[in-house]
Amino acid sequence: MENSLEILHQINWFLKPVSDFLIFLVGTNVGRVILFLSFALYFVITFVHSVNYRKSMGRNSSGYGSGFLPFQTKVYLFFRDLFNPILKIIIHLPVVLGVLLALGILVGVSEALQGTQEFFNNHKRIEQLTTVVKHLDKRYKVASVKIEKIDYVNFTTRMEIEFYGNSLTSEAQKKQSILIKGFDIYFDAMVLNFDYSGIAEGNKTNLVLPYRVFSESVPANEGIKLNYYGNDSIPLIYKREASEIYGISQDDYQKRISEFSRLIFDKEYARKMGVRSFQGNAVHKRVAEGKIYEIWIEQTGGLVLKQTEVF
Amino acid sequence: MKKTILISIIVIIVAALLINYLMPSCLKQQEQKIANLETVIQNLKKETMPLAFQISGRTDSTISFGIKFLDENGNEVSKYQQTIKGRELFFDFFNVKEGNNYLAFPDKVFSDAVSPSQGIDLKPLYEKDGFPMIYQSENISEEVRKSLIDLFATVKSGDAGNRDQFGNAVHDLDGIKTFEPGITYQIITHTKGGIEIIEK
Repeated sequence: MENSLEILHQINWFLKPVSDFLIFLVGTNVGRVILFLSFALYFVITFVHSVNYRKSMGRNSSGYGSGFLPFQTKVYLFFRDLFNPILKIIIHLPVVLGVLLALGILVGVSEALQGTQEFFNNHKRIEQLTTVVKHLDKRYKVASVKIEKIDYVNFTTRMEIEFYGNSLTSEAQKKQSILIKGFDIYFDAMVLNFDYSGIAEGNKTNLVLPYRVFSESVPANEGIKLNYYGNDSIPLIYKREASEIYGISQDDYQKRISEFSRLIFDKEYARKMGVRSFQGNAVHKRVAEGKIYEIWIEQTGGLVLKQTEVF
Repeated sequence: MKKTILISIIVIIVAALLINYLMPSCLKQQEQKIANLETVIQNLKKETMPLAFQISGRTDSTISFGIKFLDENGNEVSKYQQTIKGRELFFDFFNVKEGNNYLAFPDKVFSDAVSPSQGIDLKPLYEKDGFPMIYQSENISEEVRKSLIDLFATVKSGDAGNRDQFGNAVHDLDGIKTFEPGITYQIITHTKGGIEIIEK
């Protein structure tokens, strides 16, 4: 498409100025005034020339002698010079129409080329914007929580949490059962959000590390730690495709850990890498038995909690 | 040869005529689509800043902080100072879906040592005649104002009915990254329900 656009641009580079000038002359008031003034100037020059010519002819002839032109002659010359061009146009009508048609075709072709160019440019812009929307609107599933039992006597909630390392596979990587006091359950995580520019381009993915669960009656420092690591001790978030995580190599575990640590602890590096914020983030809800809740990280920033429908 | 040139010219003319006839409606549709996509992007990137805070002091077991509630134009609605037991400070929001977007209402402040049920209720601090002043703006219509009052009433009751809703708390991380005294932090809320803390 780039080539097509370039060819169209090259074809139109000389047509467009001519077309624009013609449209300016015919299509704008200033252009029409210029056309009228040109005609008036042509008429004045022709008329003056005719009058002078007649005078000089008179001076050279013996009949009139003085070169004086009577008023009726001037009126005659005035109308002759005024209607002469119109008569000439009528006489040469086929040629004039041919020229006008050619100019019309030139303008039409130029307009069509411009329209086509604009169409391709808009198409490209739509593709770019659609990609930006796709990247910004993306979210990754972090965990799903199934509420197995709510005990109103002992004031406890039992749940099973499934952790997801890769949203593309939609399969849980690890499970953990939790029993906690309370019904309003907080799922706490560390969240690292990148700037919109990196997200929109699709080369950065916000990172999340779930690390504890607490509730409305259990303070965070007494919460239950989450086992959000794979069998190889690698946080599941790193098990995404390499292309989905910025700056983290697929194979080098040490490099992954140091990269994440550096993004958190090295302020300058984080700024350079486009980290917008790093924070603790706990989403919560008063849960109901049998329901499944999903925790997602949004590419626009932060965690959200969704309740899924159970059929 | 002449015939080929003539046919080429006729093809060019017909193509130009067709393009000029069809293109304006195509371009209009494309421009409409571009405008829609730009609106979607603008909406996805839309942020509101209902709250700013500063840490005024810390001990091993307490955090002193000041909160400012801000309206949609960034004007101060109210201020609040408090000290709380703990080492991590949590700002809890009540997120309710209204239309396609989430609205976030500051709900309470608690800490890692103070459970959410024992936290400080923030809602009365930015409420005026039942209206959540963080959503006050110059251009707000009476209809929107009324619907926000109704919505806020459900938020205060702790249940926004059938609307999609969840709580969302943001906090610092003891031993990793804590809020530093003297720095102003702003909490920004996103239309998709996410919440972030950024340094001002």
